[in-house]
Amino acid sequence: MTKILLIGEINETLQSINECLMPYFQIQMCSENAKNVKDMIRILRPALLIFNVQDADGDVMDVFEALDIKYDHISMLVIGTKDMEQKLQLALERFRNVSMIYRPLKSKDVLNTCFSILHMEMPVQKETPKGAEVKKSILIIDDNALVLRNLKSILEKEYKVMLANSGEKGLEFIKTKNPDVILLDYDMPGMNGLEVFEKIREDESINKIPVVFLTSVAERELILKVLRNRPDGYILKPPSREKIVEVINEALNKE
Amino acid sequence: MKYIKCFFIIISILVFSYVIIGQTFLPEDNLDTRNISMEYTENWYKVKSEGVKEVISVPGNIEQNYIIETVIPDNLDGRVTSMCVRCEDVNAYLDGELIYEYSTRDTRWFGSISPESYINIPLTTADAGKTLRLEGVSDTGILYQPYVGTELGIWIHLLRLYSGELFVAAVTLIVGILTIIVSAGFSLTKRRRMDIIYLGCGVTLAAIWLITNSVFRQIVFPNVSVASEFPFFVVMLIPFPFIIYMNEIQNQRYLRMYQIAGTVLAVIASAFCLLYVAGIYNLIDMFKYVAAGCFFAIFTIFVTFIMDYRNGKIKEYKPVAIGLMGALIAAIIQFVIYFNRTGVFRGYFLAVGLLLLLGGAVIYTINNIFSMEKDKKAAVIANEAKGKFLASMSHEIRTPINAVLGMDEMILRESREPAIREYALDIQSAGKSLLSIINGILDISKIDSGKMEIIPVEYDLSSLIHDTLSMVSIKAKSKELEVNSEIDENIPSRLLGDDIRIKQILTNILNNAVKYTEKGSVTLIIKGDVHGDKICLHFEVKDTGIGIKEEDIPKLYEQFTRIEEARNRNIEGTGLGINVTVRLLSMMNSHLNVKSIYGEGSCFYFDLEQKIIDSKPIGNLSERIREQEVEYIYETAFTAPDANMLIVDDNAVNRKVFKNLIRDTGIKIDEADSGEHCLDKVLSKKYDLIFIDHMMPGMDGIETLKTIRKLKENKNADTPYVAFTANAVTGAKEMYLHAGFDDFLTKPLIYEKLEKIILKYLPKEKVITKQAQDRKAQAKIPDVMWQDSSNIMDILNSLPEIDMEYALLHYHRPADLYNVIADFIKVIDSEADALEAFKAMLPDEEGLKQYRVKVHSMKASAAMIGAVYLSGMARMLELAAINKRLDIIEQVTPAFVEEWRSFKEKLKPVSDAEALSSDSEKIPVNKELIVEQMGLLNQAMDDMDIDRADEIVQLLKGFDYSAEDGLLMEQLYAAVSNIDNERVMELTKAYIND
Repeated sequence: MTKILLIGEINETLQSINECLMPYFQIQMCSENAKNVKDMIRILRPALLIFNVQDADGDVMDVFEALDIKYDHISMLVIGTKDMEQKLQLALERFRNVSMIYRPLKSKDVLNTCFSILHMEMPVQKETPKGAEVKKSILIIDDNALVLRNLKSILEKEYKVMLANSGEKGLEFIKTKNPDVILLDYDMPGMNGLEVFEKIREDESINKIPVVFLTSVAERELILKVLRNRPDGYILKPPSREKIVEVINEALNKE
Repeated sequence: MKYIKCFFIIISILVFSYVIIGQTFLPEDNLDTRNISMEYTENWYKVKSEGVKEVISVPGNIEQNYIIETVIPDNLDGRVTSMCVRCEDVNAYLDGELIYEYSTRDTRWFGSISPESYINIPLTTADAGKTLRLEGVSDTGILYQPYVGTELGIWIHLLRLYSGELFVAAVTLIVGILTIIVSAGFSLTKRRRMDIIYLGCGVTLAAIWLITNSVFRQIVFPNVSVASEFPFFVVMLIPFPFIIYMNEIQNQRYLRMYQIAGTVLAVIASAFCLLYVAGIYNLIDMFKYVAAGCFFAIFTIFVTFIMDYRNGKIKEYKPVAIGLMGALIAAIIQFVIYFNRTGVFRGYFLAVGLLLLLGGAVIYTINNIFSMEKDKKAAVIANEAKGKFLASMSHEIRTPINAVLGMDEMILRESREPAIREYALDIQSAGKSLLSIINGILDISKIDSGKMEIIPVEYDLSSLIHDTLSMVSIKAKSKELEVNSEIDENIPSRLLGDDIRIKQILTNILNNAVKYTEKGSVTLIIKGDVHGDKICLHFEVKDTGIGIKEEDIPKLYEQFTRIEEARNRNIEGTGLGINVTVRLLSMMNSHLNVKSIYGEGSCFYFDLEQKIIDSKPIGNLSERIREQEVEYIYETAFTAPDANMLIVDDNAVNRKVFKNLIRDTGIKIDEADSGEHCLDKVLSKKYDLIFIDHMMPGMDGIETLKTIRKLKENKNADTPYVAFTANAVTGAKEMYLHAGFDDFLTKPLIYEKLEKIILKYLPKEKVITKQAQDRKAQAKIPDVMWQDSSNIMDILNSLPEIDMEYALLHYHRPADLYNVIADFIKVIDSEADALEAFKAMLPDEEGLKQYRVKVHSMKASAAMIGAVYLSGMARMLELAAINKRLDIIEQVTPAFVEEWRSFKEKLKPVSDAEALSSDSEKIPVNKELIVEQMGLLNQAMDDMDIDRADEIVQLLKGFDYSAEDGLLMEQLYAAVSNIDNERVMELTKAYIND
């Protein structure tokens, strides 16, 4: 994936630009500190630098000065306000690939500009014609990191995958992130899977979401207990890719 | 409103009573003195022979050829202008002089006698004293009463006498015709047979009989002769519609009887017509036979009534039966009257009877319509109930099946006994069949109850095709069938449609093709026709199987029907699959078509219109699919220990893969992870061959080559350069050649191609060809398709502790397993440390609980990497914790932890390979930056944004830490791998406060 370094004061604006670009690029953020920026460039080796300039007289000028000619093949996108135009132009004269855009603008405009600077084709818009759906989202709740990472890598092509490493966190995420399907591990410290399941079914606002249980081998009583609660599916760990996708699709397609 | 209604009723009664009373009690005051009509029934004599006269009574009977006389009296009313007589052929003489002649012999085709008519013989008081003689022919034998008076007066009188029944007859006729019209209309628009149309015909005919027998026929019909024949023909015709109608009403129960009756009637009718037309007999002479036929029909109908009454079926059409009974009885009475009449024919009975019949039939028909509506509603409700039932049952049904399959899977995983495993495999296959049958049934009931939806989404056509074909290939391979594909290269890559259903349809058709083919091949053909922003895709599946007989093809579309059941008994299936496919296709405005030659093969095809999202062509899919199916036989035909090659690729795994592919050749390989690095390497060493990846951040492959070409001290000016690319579009070759490359390779890398290129470009003197004798077959990978052709398998195979068969059962690609192992290695130490810490807390309750949870988690992790025995040990410890067997925990934990930690060494090949990827230069520590990034890291961990966290970790790894800090950082990396937010928070705090 193409790497972008996003430079500016780490605040909400920067975060929102980060969010917007994240699905398409590998993004790292860093503050307007000359040394930090240089080190970041060395480690990350980005294809594009985005400067979110809020104070044209501030630290960002030091950063510009400190940037070596060695890096002038890296494209730069500077986001500022119209009144900064002159100052910025002066400071960035010596760099070849500089583009400037001015606030007010939306994160999407930044995104579009990135694509054009990098000569990349815009991938298909997420707002698709009526009736078309975006990827379904899955929340995986399991205390085992290997399982979480493995399931994520299996499923992230077809679905939007969200992780939670405990029952409590899982419940929080269900409410805030609203997944289309929940994959729930049974045995977890703290709140175990069954308790989470009960809590989900009790809550009117979330009990329609299909829940698929993940259970380990050699726990027969467990499986029976799980089944008695009528989940929308269950999978034995470690799961094969086909099985998971099949069970998830089934759970999603149920009325 | 009640009062208004009352008022209306009362006043209506009053008005009508007044009219009736008035008519009854008030004298006639319609005094039309000019018109009179009187009966003239006295003084009539029959003239038997010359001079012999006999008194006859009038009305009365007479012979066929008759002569009657009367002397006009003196007291004849002055207003009289004529005498009106109803008779057939007649000549009237007044005192010997012919004053009137009536005959229709010139105006008719058949028959020998003129029809009965009212004739007006001119007569006045001036003719008093004269003798009026009437010479005529009569085949009715009836002498009707003559009238004298004014013609108009006589007609008025007749009107008063007979208009009643004419009126009834007219009403009956109108109702009959209306019935015919309405039921014809209904049967055309509703496409349903309306039997009542026959009843309408019958009643119309009867009404016509009445009218044509009435006294007014000579006014209504221009040619009275034909009109007078009508009644006879009507009687001949009339039984037919009635028996047709009754047959239908009785649901053809008595078909035979009605057929006999109908045949008899037909014979009589034909004889009747022929004999009349030939002039042999008169209608009236034959009439009794026709009437007999009628009676026979009536009799038949009565018999069926009795039979239906006895078996209770008469209830079904009670109103009709009652009406018809009434009508038939009325008809019989009417006939009797007709044959015995001494006067003018009065048809009241029949008319009333017919009205009764029609009434009954109308009631019956309306009842029918209502009950049909009720039935329809009930059927709809029942269907809905069925749908709901099936939907709720689906859960109930699938849960125990899942339990069976789940338990069965556990048996397969845990049992090592071959016999048991075989049983378990049989159970699995049966269980999966059962599940698929149930899914088929549920799908059909979903479609039936209208709940199946086609949900269009964006999808990649190439991955749809790939998934479908790979699923089918496995089964096909086991039957040694070839699976081919011909897919148009120009089809757009991304479309809008319901990919799940399309996959279901294609899979079903392909599976069927494989099922019913013993030898040969199954081919998938996909073509496309673009119109604007839509494409019409044409899908075809051809096979060389057993084929389908032409007459069996319609059976395909029926539910639950299988073709040639006897012959195909040993092929699994319920006949549901194709039915679901057919219906899904029709929901998508398509249709499944079949062409087949019995014994040679079949072709199933359908068209589907999809909207185009991305018109970039999918390229040569067929070739790519074929390449991936090649079983990987790895053999090196040469070595080149003196050769040097450089690989430039930013992706560490790709470089690793490349190196391993080449390993056996002994070629020395250098790596560069970016264009810049490549420049450094190129300036420092001469290579025999350089591979550069196109897509890299910073300087891409093409830019890198351009820059190399510009370098002054280029030791590799003459070295061949080969590009790597994932782009397989047409024109790629030209582009790379134009950019200065000597050749290019597409990813995924196929060993044969790589070998070919290397052999092509390496200096010949450095290549030593081996005798390709022992073909080292690669470890047989169970039917698993993988997308990165990689030698990761080599690494994995070298691990003795991993049960490869077990592990690969659960991973789509060996690369997935590899990644899990790499992750596992990162957490080996932290997990073991945690377990030991919890053990130290025993016998504390909380400690025991934590221990149990941790060892459970470790059991799962071990299972994930296929370390089956390690996982087994963990399970033992878990059970011990559950059963509070602290002694076992005490004894076994150290051994377990030792075994666990030993995996660090055992999995070394993987960690070595991984280590290669992080050989980029480290830069000096920048604490401020690191602290800043750690803040972002904690945020990412809180959000469970693992990708972001991993990326920040990659960044943090770029610094050159002190030994102490390095250790802390390692722990931090492990904590991120382990998705342990608290620990990450802890460690970052520790670093910041350091």
